[in-house]
Amino acid sequence: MAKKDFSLIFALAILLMVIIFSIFPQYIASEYFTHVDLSKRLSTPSLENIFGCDFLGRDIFSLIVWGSRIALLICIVPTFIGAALGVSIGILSGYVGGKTDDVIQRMVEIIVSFPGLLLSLTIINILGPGLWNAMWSVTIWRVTGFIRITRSLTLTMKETGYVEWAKALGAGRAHVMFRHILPNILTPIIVQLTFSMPGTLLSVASLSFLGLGANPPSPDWGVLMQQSRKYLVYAPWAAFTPGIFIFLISFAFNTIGETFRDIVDPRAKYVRI
Amino acid sequence: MWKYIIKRLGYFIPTLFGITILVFTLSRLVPGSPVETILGQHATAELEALFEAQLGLDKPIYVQYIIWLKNILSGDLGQSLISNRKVSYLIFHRFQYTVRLALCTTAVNAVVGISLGIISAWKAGTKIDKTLRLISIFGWSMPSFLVGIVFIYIFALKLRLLPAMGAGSIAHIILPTLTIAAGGSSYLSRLTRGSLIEIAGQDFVKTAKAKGLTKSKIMISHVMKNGLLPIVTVIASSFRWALGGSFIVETIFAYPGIGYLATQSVTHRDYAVVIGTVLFFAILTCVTNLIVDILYVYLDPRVRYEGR
Repeated sequence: MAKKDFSLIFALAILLMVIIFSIFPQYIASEYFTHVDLSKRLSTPSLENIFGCDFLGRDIFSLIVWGSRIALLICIVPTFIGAALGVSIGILSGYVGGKTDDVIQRMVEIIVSFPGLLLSLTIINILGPGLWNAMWSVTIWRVTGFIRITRSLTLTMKETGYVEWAKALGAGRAHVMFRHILPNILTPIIVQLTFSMPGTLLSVASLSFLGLGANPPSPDWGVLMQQSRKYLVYAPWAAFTPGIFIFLISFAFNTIGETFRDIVDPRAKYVRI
Repeated sequence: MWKYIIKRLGYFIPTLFGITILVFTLSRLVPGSPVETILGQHATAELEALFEAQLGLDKPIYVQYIIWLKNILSGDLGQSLISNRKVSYLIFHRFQYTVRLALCTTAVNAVVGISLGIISAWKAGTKIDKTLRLISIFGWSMPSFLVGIVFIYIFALKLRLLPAMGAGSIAHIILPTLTIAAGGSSYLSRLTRGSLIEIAGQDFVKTAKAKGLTKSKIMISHVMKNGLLPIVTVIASSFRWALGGSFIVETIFAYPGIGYLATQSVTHRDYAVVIGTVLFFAILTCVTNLIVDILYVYLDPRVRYEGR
């Protein structure tokens, strides 16, 4: 118990820190991140520059603080849009069944056959690199994930009493779907949402790391890592630090998701032989 | 069982077609027409029309699709703009490296992940389980590119033990494998643990306990035998995951597999190669899914009798 509580507190603390970084970057980071000081190129962490300076002499700590906004944006936008679309389509597919369900399932299966990153790469190939294009390319993957989960949850829900009852009372399809099924499947979907966020961040950061996401001089953490990679020998902290922050957010969301899942689905915790 | 297999193949074929249609659509959505690329500055209306007729671009779209499909089936995936080699040659030549990496990673994932999962499940609820869970979340949250460059820094730059780039000996494959395996084994250990605990919650285990069997006997003869069945599916998805993870890792380590080919082509706007790679991977995943499904039916007798 003790260990888990500690990691949960740690996770929440990290999230809080990143949220504060995003809302008030100008008060926390001492300088706007574009301030370049070439005399300090690749300097080691010091009192003045907590994480050192990158190859242009920019303070890495400032870059990270200003980049947290982008990181949170990356976490939230594709996940929520993906969830909104995915859940709607999933409920429709699961509830209506029949031909509609078959068609939607075929399409989902086809999209799922493509490795996620590769699909994103192709879409960026078409749309061109950029942060928003990278986010849209990741959204498609999220949508399919949510469709699958929502559909299986809807199928389970379809058999329950609520639905039969509502239908007996004369409820229309839309009413049943959104007033009965949706609220009941919301909790597992929220768990899935929490797990999706780090996945999205990692995907978009990977794309940025490959040079296909945000463009420099954006303080996006993936871009920072990509730029500093050349200087790994001289200044490893320049490349490691943004990566560690990506890891921290990922870890935070995953821990919170796991705890949440434990609350929602206690089976996995208590069974002992 | 055969009924299921035939049904499954019935799903496979339309999906395969759907994949080709999607890839064809993507290939046509790519910006810039091939005619413009070839003609460049010499483009006039007449020349463009001439080239279009020659390349078959003036025909209706479904005819273009059929021509494209025919080319694919005869192995012609187009030409790379950058290296001026046939796409099929590039893919064929580099496939072995990616497969090697994926197999090594799956092996490491399976050994490490499943063992940790079994230990976790055995000691469910204890401190060991909680620690392993923390380690799993750790491994799972690690961005693969961070792990990759950390490994390069420690083992290649500082300790000078292992090579950072390329392929050619066993030493070259160690770091990329460990990089992907860090995330993969964590994931696999969680899945194994979940699967085993779910089995352990079932009635037949309670019966076994009531009969007085020891915990070890129950775990080994009953829980694991049943719980490890979905592991086949899990190992297959681990293989797919390794294929997916290979893009970043191969790029970091300049490991000459298809993943590296894909990312290089996207950066250099080598559209033909990207489309070829996409098609290749999609079909590979589809076929892997099919094999796994059929294997699962073979291993799990319950599914076999369902149709009766």
